[in-house]
Amino acid sequence: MDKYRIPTVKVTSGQRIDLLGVKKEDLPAVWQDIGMPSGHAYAKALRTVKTCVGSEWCRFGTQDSTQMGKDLERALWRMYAPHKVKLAVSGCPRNCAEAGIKDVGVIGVDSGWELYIGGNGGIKTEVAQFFVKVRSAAEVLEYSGAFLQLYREEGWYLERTVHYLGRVGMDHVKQRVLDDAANRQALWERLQFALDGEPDPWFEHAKAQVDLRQFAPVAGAVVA
Amino acid sequence: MNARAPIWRAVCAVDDIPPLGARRVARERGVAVAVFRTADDRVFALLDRCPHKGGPLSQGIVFGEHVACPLHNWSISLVDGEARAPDVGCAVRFACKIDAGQVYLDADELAHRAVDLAAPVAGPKAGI
Repeated sequence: MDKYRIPTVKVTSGQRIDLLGVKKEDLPAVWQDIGMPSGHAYAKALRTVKTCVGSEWCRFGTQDSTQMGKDLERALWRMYAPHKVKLAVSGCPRNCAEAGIKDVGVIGVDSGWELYIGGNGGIKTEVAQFFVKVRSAAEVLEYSGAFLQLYREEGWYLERTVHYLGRVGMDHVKQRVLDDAANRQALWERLQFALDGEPDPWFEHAKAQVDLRQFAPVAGAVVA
Repeated sequence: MNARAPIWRAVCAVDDIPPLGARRVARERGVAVAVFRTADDRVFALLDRCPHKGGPLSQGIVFGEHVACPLHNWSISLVDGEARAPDVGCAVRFACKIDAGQVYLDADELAHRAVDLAAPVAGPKAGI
């Protein structure tokens, strides 16, 4: 913080760390020094996976939501999409992680996990719709991933999941993801294939086709 | 308006500017000048400051002869600096030319034009 004179540090509700007021010129060096993966805070991509503390620490928790959140984040980070994508995992229906207003909201219950899709906390708050209930953590990954891949393939640029769902209808999504197991697995595999080797734009500039010239004024251009 | 001849100063090569992108030319005083390159390799220069809330136009998306300000998506004409309706405002324009692949700005404008305008400040010291 001192090295780059960063004025404000904030821990976000999505468990990311905000460094506010970094000069754009300093960003590549700041990332090199931090050495952590980017949270893609401004990207049309997976944003945060918000979680409550879950069954490890909460007396009401029925599932380990923190672990589920970590698993989802590790499986989906670097996932670009038609628009930003927000996830949350709550360990019980009290829903401390506010999964009901996320693109994919996961709620732990005694017998497994409930998945909700198409929520939105924006200008017009939209409650996520119940999608499916599954038993295992592996199924949470597969069903969430398959839905997100369907959205990636069919969603329009700048169309959030709530608007995508409104356009194609919940029945369409259920048909492709729930009723057709082979298609669900194919979607999930296509997503994993797409994410395999996806570069981190802050560390693999060339591979991610990041033009570093944007961080510097033209050479020797301080004009008297 | 200004009868004197420009004093052309080379600032960079056209190829130093990404197509449909921009580079900043820092000045000794005042906000930097943003030099934009269109898809067909024409080059335009505006003060790197949106007439709306001072957004850095050099960080915006260039399309056709416009740049979309990254702060609030105003469309600013690269040709005359005017905001596209219904927004109203005009960015400060700088003379600019290409000669043999080099981009030239007017040294007198770089030294004197709009040096009193400041860049917006964000954060705790910004005030309301």
